[in-house]
Amino acid sequence: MRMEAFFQLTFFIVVLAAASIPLGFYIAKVYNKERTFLDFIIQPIENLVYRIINIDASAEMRWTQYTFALLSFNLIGALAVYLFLRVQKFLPLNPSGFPGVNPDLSFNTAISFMTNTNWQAYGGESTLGYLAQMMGLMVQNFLSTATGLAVAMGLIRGFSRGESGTIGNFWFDVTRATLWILLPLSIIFSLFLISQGVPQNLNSYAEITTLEGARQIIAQGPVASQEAIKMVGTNGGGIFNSNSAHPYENPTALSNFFQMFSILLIPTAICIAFGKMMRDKRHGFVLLAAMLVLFIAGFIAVGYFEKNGNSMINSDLGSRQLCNMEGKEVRFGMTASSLFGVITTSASCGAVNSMHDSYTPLGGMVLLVNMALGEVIFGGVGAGFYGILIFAILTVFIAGLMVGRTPEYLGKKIESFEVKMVMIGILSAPAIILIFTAIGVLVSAGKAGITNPGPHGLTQVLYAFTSPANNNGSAFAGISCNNLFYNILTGLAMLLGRFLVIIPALAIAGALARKKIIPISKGTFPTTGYVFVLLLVSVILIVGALTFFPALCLGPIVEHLQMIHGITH
Amino acid sequence: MLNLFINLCIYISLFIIIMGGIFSIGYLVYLIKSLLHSENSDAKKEEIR
Repeated sequence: MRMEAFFQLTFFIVVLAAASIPLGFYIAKVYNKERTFLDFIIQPIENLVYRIINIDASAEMRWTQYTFALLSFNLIGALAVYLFLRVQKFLPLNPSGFPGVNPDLSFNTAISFMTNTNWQAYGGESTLGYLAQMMGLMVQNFLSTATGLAVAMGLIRGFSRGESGTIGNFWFDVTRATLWILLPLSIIFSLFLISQGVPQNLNSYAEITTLEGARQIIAQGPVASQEAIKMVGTNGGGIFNSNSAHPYENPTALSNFFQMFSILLIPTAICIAFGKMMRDKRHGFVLLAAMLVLFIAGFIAVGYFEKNGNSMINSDLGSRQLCNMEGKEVRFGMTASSLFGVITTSASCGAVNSMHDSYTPLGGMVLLVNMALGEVIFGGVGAGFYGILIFAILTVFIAGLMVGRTPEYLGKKIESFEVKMVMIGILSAPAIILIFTAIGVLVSAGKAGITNPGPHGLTQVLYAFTSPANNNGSAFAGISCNNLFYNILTGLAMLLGRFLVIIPALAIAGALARKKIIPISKGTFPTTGYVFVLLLVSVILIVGALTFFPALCLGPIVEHLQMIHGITH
Repeated sequence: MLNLFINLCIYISLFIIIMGGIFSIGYLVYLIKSLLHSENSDAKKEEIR
């Protein structure tokens, strides 16, 4: 690794650790109903909400009730987004006079923002008015993130409670996530972005004449507020089509650094909160260590492939070898772009500051693999945590099989029901990706979107389903996806990919909450040491490799071999 | 049905609070800009004098 990349990564991890530890303790306090420094402002608002609706937020829910509340809450969110997009022609604050969005794109976008995917098959600045952006997308950015956090809290309670049968109250969890965590962080981050030059206004697009005399439309709007929750909530859906590569979304090197930082902030803090809530911080650190191992390995790999660049270009240059700068902003450079790419694909964010389609074949493959592993390398807010916890259960099950003992994790026996749910949670996304990709490369509507035939075309389609099915939302920018086929199929992939993990996770939480907490004995497999980290990482990689290796061989690996042999057709 | 209605109420409450939060950011920016603008104008007036 070059020194520049090494220092950038080290500095990033140090800053992240310094901020996520206090935030993790704060999250634990928020969900344990302990006193926090924001109580004096937020507590009266929360109490008012419960009083107006007349609900008892301390009433406990079984996992089935919790799931039903979560599903219906999300359904309302999706319907609201769909409605706002369809009727935006009649909404105020639409200075460009954009018409209503067509039904299939509205369906795709509503599902996308409900599931925290933020896959955008449209160009934000050329499709949506300000009110549709704010009332539909921005609100859902908060609520989909709060849903992920709620599921994570439900699962933690499943482990921490003995013989209770309940996993908390969904309304309490989602309200606390929004008011105590997401809103304060977003307001602070918005103000920081504004200080860096990100616009926050409701003005019409500016029409200017360039120095060459050409006319240019400069899009603007409430960018900073959307940008903040887009990063903090690992959403990824920006106001502008080119996302964080746009100078109005990400104007400076400092804003770029803090965008990367804010993506991983809550996913890291949740692991710390988990350790605190389980009264053994080592459990949180172990999960974090496994995530970090995979994250650093991914960054080293992408950095290596992008540094070496395109061998077909470099073969003509002699000793002056170029790194791969295609699709990257010169102001960010190769290292910061690669780091951003690894962070956004690890964390199910989907924001991009470089075009992933333009990465070298193997550099792009690493980004694809980060998502294909199930978005457990930090992952989305809450989603990454319950994802890796599902893998941790599988790991103790496999370890139990190897040594011939009944598996236990965090004092709970892992039995057949939990393992069945784990298998649904782990295998559903790969099944969706591979089946939908197969359909995509077989039918003419799927092939029509491919802009670069051959192995790269297969990678485009594979990426187009891997990203939505794992609720990432980043795009392999080359493929053309805004058509009926991709809007419906990627919409279904997002829906199934989200809830076929959430429902099993909540079922596991419910089953575990009913069980007794068993004290640690000599026969308990230790889950707080480096052996467990190694096993967990191995299980994640083996499951990922077994499911995706054949598809990767036909896509990026063949493309790489073609590149090093100078084959261009 | 009651559950669905409560979810709708929670959604509307959070919707209002979030929109309030977004507009408060915009208002804060407007206030800061106005303040800076008025300070600049005062300085300019002083300079002209």
